Amino acid sequence: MEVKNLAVKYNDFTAVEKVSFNVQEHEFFTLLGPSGCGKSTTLRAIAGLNPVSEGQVILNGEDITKAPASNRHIGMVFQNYALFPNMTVFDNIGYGLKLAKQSKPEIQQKVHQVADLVHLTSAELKKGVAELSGGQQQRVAIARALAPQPPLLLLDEPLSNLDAKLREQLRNELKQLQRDAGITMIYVTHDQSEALMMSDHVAVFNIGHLEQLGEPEAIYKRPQTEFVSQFVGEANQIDAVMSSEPANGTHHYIRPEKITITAEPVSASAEQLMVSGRIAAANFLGFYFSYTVTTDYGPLTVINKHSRSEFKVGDQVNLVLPTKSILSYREGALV
Amino acid sequence: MSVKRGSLEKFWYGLIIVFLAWLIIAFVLFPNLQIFLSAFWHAGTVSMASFSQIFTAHAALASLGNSLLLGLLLSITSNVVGVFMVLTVSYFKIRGAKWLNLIYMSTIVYSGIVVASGYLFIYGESGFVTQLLRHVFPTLVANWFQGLPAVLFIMTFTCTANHMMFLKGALANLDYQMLEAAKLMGASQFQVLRQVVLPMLTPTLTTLTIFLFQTGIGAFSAPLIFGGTKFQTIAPTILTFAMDTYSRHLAVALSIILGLMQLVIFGVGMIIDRRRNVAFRTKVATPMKRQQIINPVINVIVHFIAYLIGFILIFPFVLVVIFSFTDDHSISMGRIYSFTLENYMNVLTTPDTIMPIVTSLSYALLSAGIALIMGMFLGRIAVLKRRPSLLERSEIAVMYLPWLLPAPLIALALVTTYGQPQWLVGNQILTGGLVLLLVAYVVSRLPYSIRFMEAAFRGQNRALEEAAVMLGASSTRAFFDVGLPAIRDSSLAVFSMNTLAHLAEYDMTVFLYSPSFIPLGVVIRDNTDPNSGTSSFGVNGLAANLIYSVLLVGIGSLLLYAVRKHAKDTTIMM
Repeated sequence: MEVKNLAVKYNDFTAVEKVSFNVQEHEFFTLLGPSGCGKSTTLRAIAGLNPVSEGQVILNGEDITKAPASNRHIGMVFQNYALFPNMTVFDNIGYGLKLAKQSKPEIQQKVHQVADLVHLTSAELKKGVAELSGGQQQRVAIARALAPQPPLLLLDEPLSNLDAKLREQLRNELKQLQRDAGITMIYVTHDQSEALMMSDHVAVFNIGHLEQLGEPEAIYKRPQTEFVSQFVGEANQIDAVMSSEPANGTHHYIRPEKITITAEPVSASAEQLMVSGRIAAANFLGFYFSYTVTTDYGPLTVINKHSRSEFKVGDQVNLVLPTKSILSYREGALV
Repeated sequence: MSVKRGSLEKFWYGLIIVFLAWLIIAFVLFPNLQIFLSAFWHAGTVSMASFSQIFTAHAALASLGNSLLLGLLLSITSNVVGVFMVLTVSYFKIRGAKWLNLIYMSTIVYSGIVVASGYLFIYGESGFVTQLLRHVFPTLVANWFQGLPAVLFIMTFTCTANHMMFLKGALANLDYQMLEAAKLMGASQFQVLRQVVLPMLTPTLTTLTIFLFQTGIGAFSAPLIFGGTKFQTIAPTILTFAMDTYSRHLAVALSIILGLMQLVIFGVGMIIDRRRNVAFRTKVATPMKRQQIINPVINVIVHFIAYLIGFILIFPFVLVVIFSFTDDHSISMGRIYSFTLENYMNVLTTPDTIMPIVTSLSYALLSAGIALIMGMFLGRIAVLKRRPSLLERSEIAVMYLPWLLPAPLIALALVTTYGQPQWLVGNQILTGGLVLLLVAYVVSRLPYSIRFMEAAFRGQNRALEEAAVMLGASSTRAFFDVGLPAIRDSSLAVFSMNTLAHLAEYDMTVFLYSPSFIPLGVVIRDNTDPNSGTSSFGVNGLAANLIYSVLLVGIGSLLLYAVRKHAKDTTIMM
């Protein structure tokens, strides 16, 4: 699957500007970005639901840019599932097969096969979609998209309507399903942890253009733009700490988990910066603590991977910032 | 990948757009433009003669003044009664509210001419109530129920149907937490109503007021039957002028004046609408709960008025039903002597009396279906197309034009334009035929159909059809498989309301019907009109009217029941 210089424009407004990327077979590819960044528009343009103003969409070597959505044979799972309320679960899943004029026994067999894959029971297949829970509806939506065995499955924030616990469970199941069935998936989300956890490759979008494309680890550890460093994971801006450098429009960041926090006095080495401060807030986040430390250079967030708090609000602490972990950006790009 | 299927759909789509363009030009723009020009064109020169005659003719001038007065008074009285009705069935805890609701809803199924002839039977010169009153007050004149008070009384109660449909819906959509918040801040029950609830309903009330004013100035049936000689409004005057070839130009000029008045009112409404702040809506609104009236005295008064209104509405209908089962002597005397099914047998087995029902039902169902399909098509374009073409936008805009045009103007425009061969319709003369009335019925219901289908499409989950398309369905197939079932309830509601509107329509029908197939509205009127010259005028006609009324209400109730049964997604509150 290849997207070449894709642009989507509505009159004077450019929703997506010259975006290019490739998705390999059996890959889990994620489009990540904040609301209104153009990720869903890109997905819908691939699906054929949004008109493409410029560029090409190529699937298995064939240019499908101008093909109607119904002829692309691409599966899609919608944010609100878009299950057909006038049909049973079985009919929903079998709808694509019926359109493909498959025989009744074939439809029966494939619907049950795909229902097994997403853990839907035979009893649930007979129900109306309104009788199902959010999680079950989500499974039906996935099953319906998978039933015609599309070469590519598009998922538009499919977990965003679920509660946290169910979201986590389905996240794992979806990833497992992708691996087991070897389906190529393009997944849209604004949830960075979801993107990092599930994807083989992530494309980070911002204001209609592609900021960075790469493996999740690279995206997190070496964000190529200032936007990515702030959007993916947390980052402390430490321009004031680095004040020895000339103020030439360069901004400096460090991840909270890269900072060491200690109550003991520390003598900093040449590869370290030392900042003193006082604990302003200590937040327990399950298996780690997040501290907000007020320093002479402004507040800094520090993550300490201890399950019990070592410091309390008001404690005087010292922070050690390894210089090799500092990310510097000039005009938005990594220096 | 093949793009053939997409191209074929585009071809059909283009063909429909061209057909609609022809329809609009032939039956909306061209006839109205023709009639407009004819009013200013006399003997080869531009002339204002028709208008100057209007402003010097006493009858015409009086009808203008009467119409304005009726519009103004109706927008006050009907609003007061309508708001009260909605509050009693949807806001306050009233004993028997369920039954009251049914009775109040009955106004929806009564069409103008049916109501007017029903009231004539009850309150007319030999009516049941008149007989009763004259028995008690022998000095009371036989035609006591006539003129402005009678017209206003009838229209006040019958026009509340709109409140029951739209205001009830707006009230149900309010967030109950707003009321609770006001109460917690110390507002009394009636302060909450006055300061929170009613201001939130202002947008709907403004629209209703404009609509009532328009209804008042365009009123036809009630002034025609109950106006008497002293209170004639514009629409019946147009009919009087139109019936005579020598005064038809006056009818045209008067229609244009009525149209302009409607246009001004509509414009004022638009300005008010634009100035209005966008109402705040919470994402998850708490459903409304009915309020128990705390003050016992007020509670009793509200109950009394609620039942009184119910009685006023149901009384004529109950009497019509009862008398429809009585013999001719009872009907003519306005007293019950004996019951019989003879009149039903006569009406339902005689071709002459059953034919108007078949004619009207056929016209109403056919026009309702066509208007619905066109409404769906154009409403869908309005909602789904990101960039509708100029032609598409123009078609949608022009289709709303009949909303501004009074019924007599639409009818007159069609009847005069197609009274001679026109190239737009293959040089055919349509006046006097069967088609023109169907066209008028369709055109007059288009604004309503487009408006409500547009609302239905806006409320529809757009991803449903997209999902079907992604699974391989063509956009047409996706619409029929998934889109249409999703808006089924709204479509059914629009179809029913369109059908009801024309079951016994009179205002346009009287100008456009074919003499070979006389519709029910005209027959009902002729049966009560001593000047009609029809053989059925008198007790036979009266009996037939009673049975027609019962049948019409029966058909209407069935239609509404069907809608109400499925009314989950409708924007109209049933």
